[in-house]
Amino acid sequence: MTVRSRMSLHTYSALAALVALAPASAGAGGTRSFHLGDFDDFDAGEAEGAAIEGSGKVTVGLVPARGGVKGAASVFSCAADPKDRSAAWLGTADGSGVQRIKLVTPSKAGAAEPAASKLAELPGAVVSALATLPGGDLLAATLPGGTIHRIDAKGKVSEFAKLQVEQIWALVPHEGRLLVGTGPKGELFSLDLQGKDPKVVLDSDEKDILAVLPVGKEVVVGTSPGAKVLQVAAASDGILVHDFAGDEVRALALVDGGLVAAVNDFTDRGLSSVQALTKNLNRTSLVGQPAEGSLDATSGGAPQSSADLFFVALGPKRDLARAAEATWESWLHKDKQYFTALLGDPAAKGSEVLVAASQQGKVYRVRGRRDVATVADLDERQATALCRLGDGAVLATTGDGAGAYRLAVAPAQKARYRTKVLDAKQPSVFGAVYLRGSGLTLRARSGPGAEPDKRWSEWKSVTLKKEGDALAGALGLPTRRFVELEVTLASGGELRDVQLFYAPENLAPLVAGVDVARPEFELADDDEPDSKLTIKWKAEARDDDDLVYEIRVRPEGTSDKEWISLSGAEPVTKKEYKWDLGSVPDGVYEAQVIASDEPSNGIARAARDEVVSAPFVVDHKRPTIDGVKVNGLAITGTASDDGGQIHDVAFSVDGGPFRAASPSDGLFDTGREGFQLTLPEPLAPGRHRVVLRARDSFGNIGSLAVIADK
Amino acid sequence: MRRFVRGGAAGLVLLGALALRPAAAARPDIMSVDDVRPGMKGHAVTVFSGTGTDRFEIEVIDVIRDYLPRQDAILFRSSDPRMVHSGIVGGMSGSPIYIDGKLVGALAYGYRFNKDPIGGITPISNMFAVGELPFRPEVLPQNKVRGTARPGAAGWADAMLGLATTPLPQRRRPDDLTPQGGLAPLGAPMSVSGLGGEATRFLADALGLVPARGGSGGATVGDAKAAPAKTWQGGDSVSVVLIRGDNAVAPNGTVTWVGGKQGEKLLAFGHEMLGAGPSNLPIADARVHVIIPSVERSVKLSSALHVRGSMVQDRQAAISLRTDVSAPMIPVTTELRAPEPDMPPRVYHSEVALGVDLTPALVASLLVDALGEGASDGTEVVAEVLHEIDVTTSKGPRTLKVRHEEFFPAGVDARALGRGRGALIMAALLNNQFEVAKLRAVRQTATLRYDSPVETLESIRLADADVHAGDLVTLELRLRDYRGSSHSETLSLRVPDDAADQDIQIEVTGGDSARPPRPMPSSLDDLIDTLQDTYPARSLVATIYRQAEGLSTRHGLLPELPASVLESLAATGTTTAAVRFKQMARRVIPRPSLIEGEHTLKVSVKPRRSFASPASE
Repeated sequence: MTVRSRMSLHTYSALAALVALAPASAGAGGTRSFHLGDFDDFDAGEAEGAAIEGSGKVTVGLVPARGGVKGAASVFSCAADPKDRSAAWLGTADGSGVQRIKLVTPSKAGAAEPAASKLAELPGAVVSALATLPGGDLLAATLPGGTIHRIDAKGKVSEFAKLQVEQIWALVPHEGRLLVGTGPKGELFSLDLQGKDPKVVLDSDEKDILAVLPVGKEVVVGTSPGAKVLQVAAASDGILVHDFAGDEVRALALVDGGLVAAVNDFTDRGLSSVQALTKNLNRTSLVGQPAEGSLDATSGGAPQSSADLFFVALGPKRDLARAAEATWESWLHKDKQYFTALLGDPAAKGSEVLVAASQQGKVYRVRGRRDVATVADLDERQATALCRLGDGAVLATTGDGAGAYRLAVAPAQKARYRTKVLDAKQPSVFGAVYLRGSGLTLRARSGPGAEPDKRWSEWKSVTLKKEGDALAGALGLPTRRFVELEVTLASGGELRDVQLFYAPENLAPLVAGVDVARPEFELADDDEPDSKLTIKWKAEARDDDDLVYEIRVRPEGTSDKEWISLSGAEPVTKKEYKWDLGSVPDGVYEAQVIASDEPSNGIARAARDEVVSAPFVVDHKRPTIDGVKVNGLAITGTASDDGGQIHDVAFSVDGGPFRAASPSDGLFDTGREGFQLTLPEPLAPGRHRVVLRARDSFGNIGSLAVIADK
Repeated sequence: MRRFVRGGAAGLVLLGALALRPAAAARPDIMSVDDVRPGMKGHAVTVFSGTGTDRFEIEVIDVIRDYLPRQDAILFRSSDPRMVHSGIVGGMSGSPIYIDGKLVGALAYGYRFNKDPIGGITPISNMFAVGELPFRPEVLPQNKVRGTARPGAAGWADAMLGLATTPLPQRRRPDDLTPQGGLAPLGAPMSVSGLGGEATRFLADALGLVPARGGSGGATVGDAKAAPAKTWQGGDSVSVVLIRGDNAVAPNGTVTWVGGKQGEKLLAFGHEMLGAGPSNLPIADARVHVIIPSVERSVKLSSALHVRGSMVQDRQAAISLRTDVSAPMIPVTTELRAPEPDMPPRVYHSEVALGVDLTPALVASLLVDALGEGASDGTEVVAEVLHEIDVTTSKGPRTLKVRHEEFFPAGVDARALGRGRGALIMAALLNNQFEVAKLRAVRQTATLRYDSPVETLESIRLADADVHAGDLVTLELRLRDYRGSSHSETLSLRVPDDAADQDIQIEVTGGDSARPPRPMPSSLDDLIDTLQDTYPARSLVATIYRQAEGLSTRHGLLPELPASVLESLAATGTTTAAVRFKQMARRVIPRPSLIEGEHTLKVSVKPRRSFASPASE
């Protein structure tokens, strides 16, 4: 989404046609617009029955069927039920157990949705992995610990295997054995299907084997924290297929053309919270509750992470050696989230993969670098696992609110798409809106806070009329800072582009202070400085408006009528003005800086701010030297200046360089200063011409020549 | 047989009896406060000495309306020469007052430093309202032991973690005492015997009762079975037995009224004792040795005789007693092995009453007493205390053992030790979120030695210039003996393999200052395991904290979690389902001494060495 000032619209040539549609009245200063046009723009909003396609449009999508999961905070893993083509097993967290869910069609509005039924409760905090055995029994690994439980159809639980590991992340049947990805030693175990004969087939340098993927007869794994893809080989530590920049390869999937990896990268967490977290750990170990008020310090808020989906082509023979040599191309990048699961379909034509993300319960369908679509926008906060049911449908599970969805069950009759809350930064008048697409109806609301609440206006329908190739409407909402649009798509409808014009309330610019700098000179300068005074100021637009300035001066203490504009008709855009004093009479003056946001708001709506400087002196008069007494090599005298202080007195002997004389009273601080000097030795006997030079604080120089005899 | 006034009482019970104005009495043997007039004359019944009751005359001064919420008070003056000499006496609380042969109420209030014997009467109708309330055996009394702790289960945990709160009260300075210029409850003088001054002060602070030392030893407080039957009557002296055995603590007052079919219901005191509401504390008949006259407040010096029932309600207007109910007591054995080798070990056998906050305070006072009596030596002493607590949880009986050791440079601070780990653990057992542990017995053994086995950790320094992941780094510790010289020691720590390119924090501290990482408890037994799991006091605990985080859940600790799993499980929408903690690697090194001080170092770790360093081989 882009927010742009009306003043700079011309730079966006692609939008020129659209801009031309804007009514003339919107051309007044201060008008800005929100623009939603590409996949990322639309993906930031919420969809219901709508698909957000990678080409940057919203279309009517497919409706998922939701099933509720009770008695657990999250679903963490899933596996298809081999005996029922539309059912799946769900492994839950915080209430560790396995539940079974069967989903076929979406529930009708108002009807109770199907609920998962409990198959077995298991010890531990979370069911981290599920797999089914050829006989139909279910295997479930729980955290913490290395136990794999076997669960029969009646829910009877027995111990299948117990490995000397702390975590099990993946259970994958392969070639008549069971592969088990574990942590924290980064080992991949292979067990027979009775849970016996455990062998470590890969002992990596990594901590966790998070993903295990058979590729033909070969097996590749994804690891943490090095984010590596390793191939199981004769060497115990395997073969490095690829080392990603990031923290973990959370999931791997095989697609028709190659291999896909979901790679997450987390910002370092730092150590500043060690004390608070350790205190929390200790306290919760005693009373189960963190210390009061410490939650903010420890929960850390949203994860600082980014997620990438990489693809490497393996060729028709699925040659893993190519994965080590070929370039892994990035198909999808998402900030402030991480990916949790991948689901590919190697049997299907085309490289299509589904990606579950941690933000807003989204599931993306990725078919290539530029072909990304949001296929599910689930109600819960994150999508946690994906699995393919026996009938080919996809089941997605959710965390932070346990649920399961059968995706893409039925075409939606209509779809709704709601933009994210758009922030105009200031209370704004919302004007024309232009939608490109078809089968669209629109409503909108505005409010004072970033989260819609009771203070927000009611949804208001917007009548759309065809204007050129766009549908135009006028919002007519209360003047508020935030606005939200909701577009309803009829069957076959699509939304390609949204532009909304608004005019923020104009904030007056702020001039913080005016400094007037006298002409600058160095003590060693022999000439008078340029007779220019520098007026500098600090100014802030506060609402990103462009500002112009007018500079005026007047003699101190005179009336407003006496202001003389220095900048004239040409407005100043820099925050500095050099005033040529050549024709300015001596005196004390004041400068005024007037800032205006006229360029952004037009002359009628422009706001101004003005600040007057402290009085300053303009002094052209040169100091004089009198009362000079020459006594041998010692010379005394007095330097006087009418306009200011004497800055320094210097002397030159016989045209030599100027050297400083001393003030009689120790410092040059008044307009009349006695000075003294002794001509320096060695000095040839005879008559010498001494030039005395007095300089005032403005840099004006007065001089006098005297003769000294030695 | 007298009966409780029923008028409107059922509704009042629902409201709670603390703010009740009962209906006026309409019985011939009761005088309503509405009928009391200034100048009326009557008498009070109480025990001045021994066990027999005596009476003294009173004259009504006036009636104060709403002296307490929904409770009037009747002001009286006594002209009895004994009262003129002593003033209103602590221990007379509850003495029934009759006018025209009708029971008006209980003597319950007085003025401190009074010059004349002027007191206040709690109307009997308010006391009857308390008597209407049932015995609630299922409620473990939460006696309002004064303290600075947070309410609820958190207080003891905070104290245990050094979070600046304590479930037992801090000693109050005279400045902190609330000035009481007006009419105030007389309080129940807490007859104390077999306890020294320090333990008495400790207990008085904890319970907010005025101690009266000098009763007979608690060993004489027998059971009612061993004593002749007692027929209670108004004016009898009655004590609530908090401790008996080698020590005895029993607040004392007077019975106001006796009722019930068998005379099994008693009302006493005319004011609260600890204000706990539903209670179950043993009561005993008592013998008054003498009244100790005092300018501030005279008190009865008394001894409890035989346990004869239970205090079942403890409220604003009265305590309600039952002689057909018995209250549990827990045996406590306190053993002191004094530092002076020639002093034989001392063993004290006592029983204490049961209450959530009361029991830890009572048990602690016994330890304070043993220490005060046998270890007053003002020199360098190290104290090792072993607490063995027999409890029964829903999973069965078990014994919890906790040992802690502390150094005192100038004699044992008995009160500090008393409010130490043992008291906190008892508080945790009685006040936790899962179930109330049934305390069966407590044994506490304090062993003291003249010694100063203390080392102060002055600094830690990393000897290696570069730290690489997987290295065995050498930490140079500078330790100073107590009043001795400094010396250096080295300590090797393995830098975790996955700490490459990260900062780590190395922390070195004493065993007492660190706790083993434990998950959130999901049962009392989990909690007991956590309470018992400590590092030896004489050890150094060196920890390397990494940036990676794990989760503490009710189902166990989940350390070493990959970042995305951690984020998925630590659901952002909830606060307590899972708690994060920093990944830690720990070494616990036994030391000959207690360790004081804590030091931390932050170190940037470089990637694993390509060539093994000599140090890591």
